[in-house]
Amino acid sequence: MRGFARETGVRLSPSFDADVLAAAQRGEPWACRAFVRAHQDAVFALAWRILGRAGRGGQAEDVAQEAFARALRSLPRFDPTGVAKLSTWVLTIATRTVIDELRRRPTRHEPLDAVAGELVDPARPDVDAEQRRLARAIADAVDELGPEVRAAFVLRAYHDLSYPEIAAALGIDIGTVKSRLFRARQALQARLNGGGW
Amino acid sequence: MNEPFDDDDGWPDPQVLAAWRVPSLPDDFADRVLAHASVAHARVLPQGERRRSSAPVVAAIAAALAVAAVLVLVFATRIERVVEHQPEPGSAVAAAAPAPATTQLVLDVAPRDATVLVDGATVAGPAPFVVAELAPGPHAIDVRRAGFVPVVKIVEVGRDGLRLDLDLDVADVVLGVIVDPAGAEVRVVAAGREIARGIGSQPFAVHREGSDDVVLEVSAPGFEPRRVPVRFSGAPQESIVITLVPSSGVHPRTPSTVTPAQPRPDLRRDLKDPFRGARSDDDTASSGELKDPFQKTPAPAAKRTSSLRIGVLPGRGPARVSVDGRVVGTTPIANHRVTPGVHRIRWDWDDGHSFAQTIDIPDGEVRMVKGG
Repeated sequence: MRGFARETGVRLSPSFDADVLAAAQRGEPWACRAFVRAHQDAVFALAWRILGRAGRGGQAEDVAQEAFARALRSLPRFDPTGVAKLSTWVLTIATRTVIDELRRRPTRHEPLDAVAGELVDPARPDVDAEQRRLARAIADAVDELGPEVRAAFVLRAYHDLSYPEIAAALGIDIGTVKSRLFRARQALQARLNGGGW
Repeated sequence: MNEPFDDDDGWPDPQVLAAWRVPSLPDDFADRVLAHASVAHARVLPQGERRRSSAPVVAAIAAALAVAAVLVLVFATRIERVVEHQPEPGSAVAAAAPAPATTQLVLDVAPRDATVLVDGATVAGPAPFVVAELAPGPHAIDVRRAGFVPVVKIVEVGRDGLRLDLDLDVADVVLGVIVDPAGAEVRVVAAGREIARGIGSQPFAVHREGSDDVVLEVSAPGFEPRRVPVRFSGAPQESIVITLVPSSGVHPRTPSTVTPAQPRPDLRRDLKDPFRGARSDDDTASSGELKDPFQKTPAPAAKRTSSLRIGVLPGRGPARVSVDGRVVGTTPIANHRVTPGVHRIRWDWDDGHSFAQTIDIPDGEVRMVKGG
């Protein structure tokens, strides 16, 4: 199996000194801060991509904050000797927070031009117009998927979670994970092929 | 609907997916999260209906507490008067409670412009970072810089203070894996989970974000599989050489005499050094000097029966060399005896440049390794 993370470079998950994790579980502020800093990029990226257009205008950041509030409340119950890795556990909480948010509030569509401007890193002027078009095509394809399908796709393609981990995060069985990924792949391929990529 | 796929081979090109980038978070995001989390935590405390329905009970408890407080004040005043008229046992107690001593923590960090937090508070830099008047005991240090692996840990600061040298590891590492036989399969496993796979000698781009345990699992038909832990030196390039040995009990000296357990011919291709394009062809340590695994059967002996010749690539000056974390001298080193097995060699130059290579040396072998 080959995911995006495997192809573009091996991303090792953030790992915590056991003492720091224990301190974070006790609620010590410095350790909680370290916990957030270690996972904030992954959680925000997940929220930003799953929310799609609904996440613009600071919504993704708000949802990421809420996800961390939940994670910090549940952190004392996290078992570091258990099966789940800390990073996967955090992403699971973040995924559920994002999906709750999508179900709770009606999708607010931003104008397409405004969205397109955010599809690439503004700090990267080298990213040319072609890349922007490509980014928009991916974002549009993902945006047309339902929240659960979108979440499965993002967890697999951008966070390299395994099928069992995605199943656990979304509370579904592995067969459903495969089915959702299949639909995501079809939608993405159709959109990209239509755009000439 | 078609059968759902069992693997990800049908995904679009990863470089295509990579086009969909995510904006950066503001620097104060963690602070805002912690503020938000404390507010959210307060929200979950019992409020609203529950508070209103229990108002009479709360009022009664408040009245009882007020009465109790008055009684405590009365008794405390009486006890204080009694103590005033007694001899001075309290003076000894006072002497036994010394004023809290303070100590000092010094962090010499490389790179010098890293961000350092001690117990959550930023320490002014650059290095060396000095925290004066610190209470002895455990303290949390958090050292970060973009492009490097952060260090977050607790250190015990004694009454005499503590000085720590912290060299942050480079986050983006090219892990050059050189295998013999050349067609062996390489699996990169982190924290017990496969994160990359490939056939033959090749570089793996590894982005390190923590201190994950990374193990290379190498296998080939007809050879004993190997699990070799990767020990990162902190340098941006690591090279590791892994030689498999035939799996049958008796190992003939030439492949031609091997019958059923002989590996496929296509597994005996020339070794390719993943760094060859970036380094001199003179780097025989990574390629040409590898011996035929059929020549020797490694013995499990712990004696130093193997030998390293350690030099530098052309154009490089003498380097300090350490093997397995122990400084062994300055290049050239003609004969450094080691035990058979995996060893990590690191070269350090005065200009700050460093290079590391991990080598798996069979029993009785002599290997030339050159850093650059």
